[in-house]
Amino acid sequence: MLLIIFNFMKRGQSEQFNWVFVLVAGAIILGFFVMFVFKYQDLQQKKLSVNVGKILDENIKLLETTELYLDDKEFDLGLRVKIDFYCQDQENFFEINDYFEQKLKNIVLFSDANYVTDSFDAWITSWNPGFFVANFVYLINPNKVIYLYYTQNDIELLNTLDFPEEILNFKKVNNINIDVEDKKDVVILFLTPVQSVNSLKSDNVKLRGIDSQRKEIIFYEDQQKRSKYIGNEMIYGAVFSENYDMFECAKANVFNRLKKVAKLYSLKASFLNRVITKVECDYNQISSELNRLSQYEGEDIEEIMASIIEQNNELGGRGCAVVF
Amino acid sequence: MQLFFKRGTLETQQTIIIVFIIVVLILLGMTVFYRYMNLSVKNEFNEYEKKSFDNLLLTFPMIPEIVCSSYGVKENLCVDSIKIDSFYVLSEKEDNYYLSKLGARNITVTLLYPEYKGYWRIYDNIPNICLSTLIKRTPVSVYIADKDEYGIGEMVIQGCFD
Repeated sequence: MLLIIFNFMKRGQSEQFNWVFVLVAGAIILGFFVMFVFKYQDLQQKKLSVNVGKILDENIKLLETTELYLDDKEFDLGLRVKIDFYCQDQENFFEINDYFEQKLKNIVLFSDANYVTDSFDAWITSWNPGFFVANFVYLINPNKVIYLYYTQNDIELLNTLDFPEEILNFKKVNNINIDVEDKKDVVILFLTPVQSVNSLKSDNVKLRGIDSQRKEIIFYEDQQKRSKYIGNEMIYGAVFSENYDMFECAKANVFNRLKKVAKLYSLKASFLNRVITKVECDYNQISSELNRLSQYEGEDIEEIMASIIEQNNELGGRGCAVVF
Repeated sequence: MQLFFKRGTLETQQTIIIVFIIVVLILLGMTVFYRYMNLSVKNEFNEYEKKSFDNLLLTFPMIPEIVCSSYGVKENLCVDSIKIDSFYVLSEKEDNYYLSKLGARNITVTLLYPEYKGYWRIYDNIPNICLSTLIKRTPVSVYIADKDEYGIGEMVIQGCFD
């Protein structure tokens, strides 16, 4: 009798063991499935990020070849993603969904730093302080609104600024009381330095000013830091840049590029001096000036550029091949 | 009685083995699928690199270092022969700068018309060992500065890929 009871207890233990085993195995399988789902999601994100990077790159290349602008319907990424733009060591690069990173190799980018978006407005201009140096690409949030504040004294400057109104939400105003409360992303560009802008300061508003006498752009929300500009293309860049630091980094990139191109033209002038033997075609001076420009550390290049342009034009006037 | 208990033990053991085999099969399936997905991401990235290479063919002839210009105004779709020679010298001096811009590439221009001996090496940075290479060509207008003439040439870009 005791033996029978003992054996029944053993059968009970065996069934218990079975259940425990099934539960443990089931938990392990479920755990693996859950881990697999997360890994799959992660891989899909990576794949999508690379795809979006491809579309972004193609659209920027399209801009470079057509040299116009793209509105948000044409510059559509296909899905909403997180994109971060960086400028470090004079290089622009972007990162999609914190995974896919790619450098922007031959352009200078002016843009906000962080986006969660599925499209952009984009615009390209060439920066030419005397000779073509680089393409500037401006990437713009489609919801951005730009106010251009001007006074009667700024009409001349206002007429030189050529924002593409076809793709931008762009308004010219001459009343400083601008209502920005219901706007998500606003830039106000003052064509003349303004003393007090505190009433306009807000998280969704960027404030920029132009001091056309000193050729400086004022970043009001960055403790009124000032940065030199050469050409309207840099003014546009300041409007679309996230802040003073990113603008300065992009500008450093530009000046680095200017030095390389100047060095190249200096070499070209030396080559021309050897190849062209006409007495009136002396390229030594322009070669030396271009070499000086290629080593110049400052940003006040206007005088050197003016001298180089004059020499280039003189060479052309004498029937010699121009350097640029 | 002992026979029943032995049968019960046997069935339990069978269950354990079957469950174990199923778990192993599921794990194998998941591993294979995960590796396939990983490969798919790598392929997507390779496609991106190749597309980027095609885009280089469109945009490289327009960089300020080689594009033709006259009094500061650039002329698209034209490359200046003396700027090409200068760029070759510059790219060797400014190795790191142009390596980060152009990568492992070999870029040349051959003059096809008029039939002078025109061949220019623009950029040469292909490693000796390359897993796979891709070669693309595009026609370009070439300004021959020393003769003050325009010709038609072919730009060849060779890229090295992993």
